[in-house]
Amino acid sequence: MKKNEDELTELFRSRLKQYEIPLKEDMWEDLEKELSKPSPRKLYTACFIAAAAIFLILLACSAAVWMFAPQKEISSSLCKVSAPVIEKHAAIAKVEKAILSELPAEKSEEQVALLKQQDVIQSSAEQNPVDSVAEEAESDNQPEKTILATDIKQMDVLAENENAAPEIYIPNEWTVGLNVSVEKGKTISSIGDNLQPITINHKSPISIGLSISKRITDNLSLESGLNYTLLCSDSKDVSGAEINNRKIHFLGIPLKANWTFLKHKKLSIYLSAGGMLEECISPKTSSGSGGSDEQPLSINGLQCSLASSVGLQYNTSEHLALFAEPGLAYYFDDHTLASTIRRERPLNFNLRCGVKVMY
Amino acid sequence: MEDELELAKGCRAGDNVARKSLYTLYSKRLLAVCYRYTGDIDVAHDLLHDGFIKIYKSISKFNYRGEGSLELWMNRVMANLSLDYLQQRKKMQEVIVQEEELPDVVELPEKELYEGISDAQLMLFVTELPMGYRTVFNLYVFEEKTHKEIATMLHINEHSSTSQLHRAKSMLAKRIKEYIRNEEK
Repeated sequence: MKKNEDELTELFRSRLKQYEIPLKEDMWEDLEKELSKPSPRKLYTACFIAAAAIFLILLACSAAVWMFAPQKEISSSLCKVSAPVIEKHAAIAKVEKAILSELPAEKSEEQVALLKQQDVIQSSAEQNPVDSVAEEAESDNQPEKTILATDIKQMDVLAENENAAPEIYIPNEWTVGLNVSVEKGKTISSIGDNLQPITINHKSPISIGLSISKRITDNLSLESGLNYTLLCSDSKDVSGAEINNRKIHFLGIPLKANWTFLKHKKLSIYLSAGGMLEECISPKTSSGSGGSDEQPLSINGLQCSLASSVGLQYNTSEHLALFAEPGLAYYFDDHTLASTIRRERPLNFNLRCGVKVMY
Repeated sequence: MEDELELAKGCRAGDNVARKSLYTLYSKRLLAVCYRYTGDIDVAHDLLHDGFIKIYKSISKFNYRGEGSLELWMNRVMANLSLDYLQQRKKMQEVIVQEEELPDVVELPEKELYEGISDAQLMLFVTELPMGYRTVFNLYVFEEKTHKEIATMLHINEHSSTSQLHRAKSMLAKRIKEYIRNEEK
């Protein structure tokens, strides 16, 4: 039986190992045509890098505005009510407090005109029976002297709290964050690139992200950014010798919504949901000590994922917060032939931690 | 004829003449590899096309280890693609068949009788094997894998690999005998 089997093996091996089949027509022409096309992967990558660059420029600009512009001006411009006017009023009120404190209260609709033309002021003054106001203000003819007592009262309050204007509640519109995320790894056995049985150890994926979010309402914000992920895995053959070490780098753009449902003092808890598009920027396989041939990695196109998480945020100061977000992410099949943690475990837990700067 | 190293260098540099030479030299043999695994000539053509794109794109990763190493490497790319194709379509499930009694050994006829059978006919016998038998037969006979390796690769047990090969060989011997008998008539 053994002899017969060997004979049969030998027959097929010797006759078919170098066997050739004529090709269909135009096979080379089709291949040549495809090879001359710009690679869609390159186009994807170019678009992706462009998007990433635009994002970084925007991020840098907004950071520069925030860093170099005087804080008060930003606050004032963000607060579209006339904070500067109120400040001015407060200052005027302070100066004139002594002068006008004895005035009888009288209401006028013309209070808005106080900073306008002098003739208006004068006519107001004429209506006002207290002529002493004008006399006492002989040293200057500033329009402020005609400020009515009711305004003054309001302004007094502001004047007494000299810092009142900057303390007007201005919610932080923008948040810039830096975060690090880790996921769980996995070990599997599979077929190696060179048809050898191997054990693949997918190490824990690590991500570093820059995020920027915009407040939509008091409790809702939209977040995007730029995310870098590193997937590492090493393959070992049956004897335990390392075959290769694979590193795959991804750049991703996330988009998600955060809903804050609990705020208590400096602590807030929020829910996040969203997705991310990632592009593989550099699939690299380095041979192990065995020095086996390297095989191409079939990682094409974009990796899409959906994620949700619960976030815990602690505001250490007005502008700085620390946060931690345990969550779940699902990675859609990108039809890659290479074994990655994304393919082996599409649904994975992750923990994201970081800092946020709010302004 | 250019040697493999020169061809590899030319392809690495993106030289279209070198690419075409490589294709002309090896495509027919590699098409046979894809056909031997998939048993479908149209699918084999598609895989050959994809395989060559993969080869050209990743030729920079090929390490030259003497004459024959390039062909071996390309052979592995094609075999890998074919196995991926089969696995993706879940056709490998056919590998796990009910472990019935093994068929009796079918003796091969005299060498003089089967030597006259053409290579094309032998190839047809292989491609007509059930998917599971064919995969194990290919890996054992042409890739020269052990049953232990095949078992790990296909996620089956070693005994299953042994019996698949036994069945494949019995079936092939039977087909050869039938063929010779028909030829004699």
